[in-house]
Amino acid sequence: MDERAIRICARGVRKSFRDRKGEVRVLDGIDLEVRDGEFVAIVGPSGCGKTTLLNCLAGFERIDGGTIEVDGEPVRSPSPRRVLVFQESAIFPWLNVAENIAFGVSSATPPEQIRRTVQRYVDLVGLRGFEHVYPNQLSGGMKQRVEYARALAVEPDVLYLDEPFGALDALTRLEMRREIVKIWQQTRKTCVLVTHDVEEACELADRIAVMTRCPATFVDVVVNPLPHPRDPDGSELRLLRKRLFAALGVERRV
Amino acid sequence: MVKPRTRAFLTLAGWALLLLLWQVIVSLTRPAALQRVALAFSTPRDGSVCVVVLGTVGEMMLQEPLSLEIPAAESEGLRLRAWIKASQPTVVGMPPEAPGGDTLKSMLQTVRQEFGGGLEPVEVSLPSGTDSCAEARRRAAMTQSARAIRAAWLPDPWEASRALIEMAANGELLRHIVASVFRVAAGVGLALALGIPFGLAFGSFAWLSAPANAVIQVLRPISPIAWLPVATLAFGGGDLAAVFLIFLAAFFPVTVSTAAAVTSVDLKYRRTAINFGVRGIDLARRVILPAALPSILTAVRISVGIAWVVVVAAEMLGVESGLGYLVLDARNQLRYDRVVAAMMTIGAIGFLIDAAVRYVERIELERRGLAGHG
Repeated sequence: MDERAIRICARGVRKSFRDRKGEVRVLDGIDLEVRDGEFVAIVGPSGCGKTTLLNCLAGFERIDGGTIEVDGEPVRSPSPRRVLVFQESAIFPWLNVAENIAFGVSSATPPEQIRRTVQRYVDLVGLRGFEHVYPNQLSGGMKQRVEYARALAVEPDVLYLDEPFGALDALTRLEMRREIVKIWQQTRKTCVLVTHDVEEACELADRIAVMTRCPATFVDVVVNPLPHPRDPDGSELRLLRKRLFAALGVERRV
Repeated sequence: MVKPRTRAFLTLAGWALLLLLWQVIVSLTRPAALQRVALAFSTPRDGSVCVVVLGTVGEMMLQEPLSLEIPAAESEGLRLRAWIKASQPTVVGMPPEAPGGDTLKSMLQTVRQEFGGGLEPVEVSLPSGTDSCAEARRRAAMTQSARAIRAAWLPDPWEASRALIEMAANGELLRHIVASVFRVAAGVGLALALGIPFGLAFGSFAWLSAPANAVIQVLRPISPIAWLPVATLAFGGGDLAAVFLIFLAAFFPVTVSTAAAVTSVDLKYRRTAINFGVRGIDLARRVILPAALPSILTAVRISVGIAWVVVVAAEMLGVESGLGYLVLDARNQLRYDRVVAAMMTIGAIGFLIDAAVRYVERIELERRGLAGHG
């Protein structure tokens, strides 16, 4: 049994959106527990409400029913303690790398300390030498590294990752998966990853929750105790993927 | 994509074409020079001359022999007087000194005194041939072309450039340029100082945008020139009224574009900022304003363009400096070369202002990797 404290606790979360035709129920009674330092992935088909769930967990959307608590406190609004990394690059094009990373750091912090913090995360994500470069000169993978560094620089308790590799090319995607694992191993932040990519979830997460189509609930939660680095072609991961595809309703021979 | 050097060359080619077109239009439309009715005498020979009068289109109005013999002089003087009265010449082509010339001169002098002047004598020397009347006709034609009146018409590029150089040399031009540029700078500066915060507010608060739009959209279509009487009444006829008009011309576009830019700032930037606890004034200053800056700069460029158009019109009333005043003043003096020189200056300064704002805009966009147009 896991001894670590529960960081995120969601109970019976419900969320509907209003459109012209009436009410669309997106989340229908979601339960989720994430322990401190755990890496949880939520997989599901496109448009099933994964991003909505993440926005609710981060406090960007109000929920219609149920409760979401982080460290025992209900989530009402966004907070620097829980940083969401968006699907598309959301680093500011008018700031250079160092300025982007320092963006969330409180302006009350002494400049010397800000500089040190920035340097630490620049080094962590491997962007040394690019501190004064503007985002338009960075590749997709580098922009994503800036994004992680900016999120980590405010020392959050939780990182929410919303399809973070969606906009990257296939090679960069593989590279950034390793990068995430490395960052996670070094910082031990609690991470919640939303993705439609089963392989990605298997390679990264400790636990994988499978979401159904709208209105969404979890149909299965799979524990993945394999140590990193993981061999995507190993037999354990193959079995795991098979189970996930089955849960998603997509039978596949592997 | 065109290379910068080619681009500069093509720009110059465009201007050259404009000058050429201007020259062609002016020369094609310029009215023919006006001919004056000319009377001319042949060189006295054997005590007589031939008198010829040519009309405004060079037609022969009269050709008669005139005797200079003393006994006949008085009656001949009356004949000459009758011809002059009938044909109304304004210039007289005189032969060079010759025997009998004095008689001719005194006969003419008598008629001139009676008509109160107006018969301008012009001495035209010609080799005297055998035919006195042929000589007189040639002298009349030469007198006409020597004293032809050129009608006032649009100046061509050379005439306008001469006037431009003249005004530039005596410092007059600089004084007017400074006055106009000052008014535009003051008006646009005021419009930016108020319009950008207003636009930020309208764009940020949904409940403000409807009433603000209602007000702006009925005020915006009113040409700043229509405000002129009100501005003059409120601010007197001086600089202040002109600055107010420029302010009006620039304020609405800046406000509307800023508000539009603010509402279209990408949600992911807002959410990121809010996620990091950046809200309120900080959010506006650190995220909304920089994200909206490219659109705001475009609005500034357009506003300055409008302001430059408006300042010229505003200066036609109530002030005694500026390029608009220069245009009007030159027209009142019938100095069309100066009118056009002032127009050239207005165009050139407008071009320079636009280039300067475009340059600032491009630097800002290039930094974000958004440069493309321009």
